[in-house]
Amino acid sequence: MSSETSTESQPFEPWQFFTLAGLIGATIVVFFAKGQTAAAIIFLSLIVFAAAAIGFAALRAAGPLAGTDLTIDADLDARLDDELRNLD
Amino acid sequence: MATLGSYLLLAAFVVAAYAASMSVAGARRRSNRLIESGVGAFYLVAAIMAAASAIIIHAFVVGDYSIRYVQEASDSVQPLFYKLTAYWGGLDGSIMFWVFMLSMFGSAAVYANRERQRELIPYVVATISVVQMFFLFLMVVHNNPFSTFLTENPTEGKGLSPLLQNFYMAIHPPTMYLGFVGLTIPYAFGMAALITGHLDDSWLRATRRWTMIAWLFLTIGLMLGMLWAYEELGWGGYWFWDPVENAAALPWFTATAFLHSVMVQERRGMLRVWNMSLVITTFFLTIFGTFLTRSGVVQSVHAFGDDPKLAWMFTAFMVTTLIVSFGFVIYRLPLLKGRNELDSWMSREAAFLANNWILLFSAFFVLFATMFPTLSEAVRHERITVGAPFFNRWMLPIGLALLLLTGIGPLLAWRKSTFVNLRDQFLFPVLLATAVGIAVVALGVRMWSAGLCFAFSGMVVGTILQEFWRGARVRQGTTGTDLFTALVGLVGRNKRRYGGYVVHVGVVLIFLGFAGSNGFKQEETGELRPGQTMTVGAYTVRFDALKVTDDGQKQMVTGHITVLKGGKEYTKMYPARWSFRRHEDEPTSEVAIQRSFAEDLYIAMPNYNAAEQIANVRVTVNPLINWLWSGFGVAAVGTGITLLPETAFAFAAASVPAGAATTTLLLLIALLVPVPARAQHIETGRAPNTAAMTPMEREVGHAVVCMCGTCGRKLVSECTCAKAEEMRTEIADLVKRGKTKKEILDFYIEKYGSQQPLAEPLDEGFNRLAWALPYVLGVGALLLVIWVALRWSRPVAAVAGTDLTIDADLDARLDDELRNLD
Repeated sequence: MSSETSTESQPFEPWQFFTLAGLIGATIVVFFAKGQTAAAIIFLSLIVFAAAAIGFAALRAAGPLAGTDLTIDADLDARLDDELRNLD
Repeated sequence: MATLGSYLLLAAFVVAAYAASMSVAGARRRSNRLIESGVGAFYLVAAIMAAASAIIIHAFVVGDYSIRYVQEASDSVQPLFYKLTAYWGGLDGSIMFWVFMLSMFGSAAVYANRERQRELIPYVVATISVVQMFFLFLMVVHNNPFSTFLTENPTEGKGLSPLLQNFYMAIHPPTMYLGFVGLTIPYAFGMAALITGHLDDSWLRATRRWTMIAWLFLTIGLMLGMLWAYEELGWGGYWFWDPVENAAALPWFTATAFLHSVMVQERRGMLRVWNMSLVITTFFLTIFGTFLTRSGVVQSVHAFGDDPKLAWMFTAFMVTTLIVSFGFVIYRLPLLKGRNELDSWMSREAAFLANNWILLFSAFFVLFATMFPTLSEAVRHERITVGAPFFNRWMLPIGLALLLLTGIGPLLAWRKSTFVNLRDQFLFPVLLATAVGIAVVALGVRMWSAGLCFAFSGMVVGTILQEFWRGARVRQGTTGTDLFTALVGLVGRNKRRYGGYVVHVGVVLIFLGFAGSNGFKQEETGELRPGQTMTVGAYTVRFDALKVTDDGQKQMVTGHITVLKGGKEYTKMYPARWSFRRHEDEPTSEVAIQRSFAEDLYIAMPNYNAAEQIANVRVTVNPLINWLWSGFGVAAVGTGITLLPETAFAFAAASVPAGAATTTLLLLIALLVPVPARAQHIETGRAPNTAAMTPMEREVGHAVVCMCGTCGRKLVSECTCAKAEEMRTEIADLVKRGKTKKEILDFYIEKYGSQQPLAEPLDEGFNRLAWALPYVLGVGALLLVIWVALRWSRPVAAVAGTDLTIDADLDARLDDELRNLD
């Protein structure tokens, strides 16, 4: 039985960053919320989490525009289809 | 926070527009970058709507009455649960909640299909985004839930409508909305298929589960609405064909038709134009239902109010949707041709066609009857009432026909049924139906509709039992397992088919519930002083006292009642009237219900005199009503089975696995838990107690509606409000003076200056249209179905002029494969 533990450093994924940001933000909100009911604090935390989700989704929307366009060439596409069809 | 909320809605609109345009641009330019950006923006709308929703709920929780919507739908003494549900309790919030649900449901559907449906996804995103844009536009320019007071901020809210402070009403809207927005998904995939021209069946496969989930939520939503009406409105019924109830039922009819006809397309490649049209119509009806509730074009107990500007915006969107959608269908007609023809009228395909005809007729009849008062007002400037008696006149035979078809459909083979096949298949179900019919007549039931309902239910149950039995026996023979394991393996292998049969069991229970609670209901109303009694059916109700209490939010007047059965004390019940602060003119009826599987004892207290300790008590005995609710539960379980992943029950697919029988048995017991197993006594049709109302008074009470203007035009004989009581007294007086039914109806027409007090429009003049159109609709639709079927059944060889000899072996193999398809 192997534990499969890797020592290689993993890249910091965007969703991890935004989750962490949401958690930190929610903690700060809870720390500073005074005189509010538990339900109100929960919803304040949810607002912060939703803000983190907005950040992540905004990155997901804007990110592809900054990358290389994988425009699909129509002729290439047709050739690929042909070759796949003829493959044994 | 209000300003942030408004900006978020505006941002959501802009981002939805971006998502739509980027997706279309990306698809047209074949740019993966643009498509991915559009999809990302689509998710972003969901995130923004989640933030906006959290902000509005937070405002409700902290009581931020500077926001107009919060001030109108909550107050400081409202329990937390109803503060949370107030989010969707008013017009503005309900629209926002709609967009939130759509964005979440849409994101889930796009995420799940992003790899498998790469060609369709950009247009799916664009279609859903356009729908979102419409609702966001409504909020930004007309119904902003974050709009604030311009002058001084109130320090207290008005409070949520007391009628909405009910558990079922709290969870009914989200369930309905999930059903409504869920039906946007098949529409979006359908439109994407039309736009791209990828009209093979892959879009259907992509949306099948989503449609089922939406249908399930819609069904549960309808049931929760019925439960709310039953428990909160205090008239002993659950459905009175109110326009808003009808609006929710309309897409249910067409979605149910689609779920059946889609099988014909998947197996036989037929009905492709029809299915596309059904998807579009269903989506249109979800928008139409929202329009009915919010525009004020119909009078309803559920409507949010009169808003002509909103009505025009909805009309423009609906017309555009219809033109664009059906425009694409016409444009793509050459690609939508069916691959096969109807081989025989005695086939499963023909049964599905009949099923679709009935469901479509139901949808269009209900739509027409709901809109007829508006039409009458527009043409003759006279608003009339089309009440429950008019709907029941048509929907009763239609419902029975549908029930019969539920029994017949599964017995027919795909393509064609031979005489021997028909005899083998129909023998047991028909025998069972006959036996049930004879038993019901022997028990003294003389009501034709109830008798037929019981007999047809027997046939459906016979069909389902036979299907399970034969399938399990065949499987037992091939796998060598025990019967239970074979049964589970059978369901596991054909989840859709056998899950569908479980849904049919639920349908039978629902129909039995309808038959029992409508056909054998007994009710009585009377004024009681302490110690006085009243007898209804087997129950004697003794009024003990009237007590007044207050919990800070509302004043509660509670009747203390002892129920005697067979001379012995059976139970104590406490019907009440609650008057909420700031809503004193809207007292709610808190009914007391003693439930049993055979019947409900239902006591409401429409009126009282606390000083003199007098209570006006309405006692109803509702037989089999809990079969109705159980039926919805069983239908939900059946739908759940069809939605199970492929691997579910996989253990039973192998041959004789260790312990499978035990596990199977446990699973079956778990499934049967919601269905109480004890045998039930079926109530026979006892004559109603007419001690307080003469038969003539009852007859007129069923022909005249309450004119209070707030109860949604309930029948005078059923309504519990003070105005209805006044009208009942008036009717009793007129009857005592020897007036005939016609003279009393004329009296009301003269009194109110129109036919509005009548439950059904008189069959004369313009109103004759209401009576004639159902015939025209029915016959027209039938002719259309026959024409379509005849076109299909035209032999291909005759058309093409070639000889297409069908190989007998191939033919038999095709039959086998069709039978075994999930």
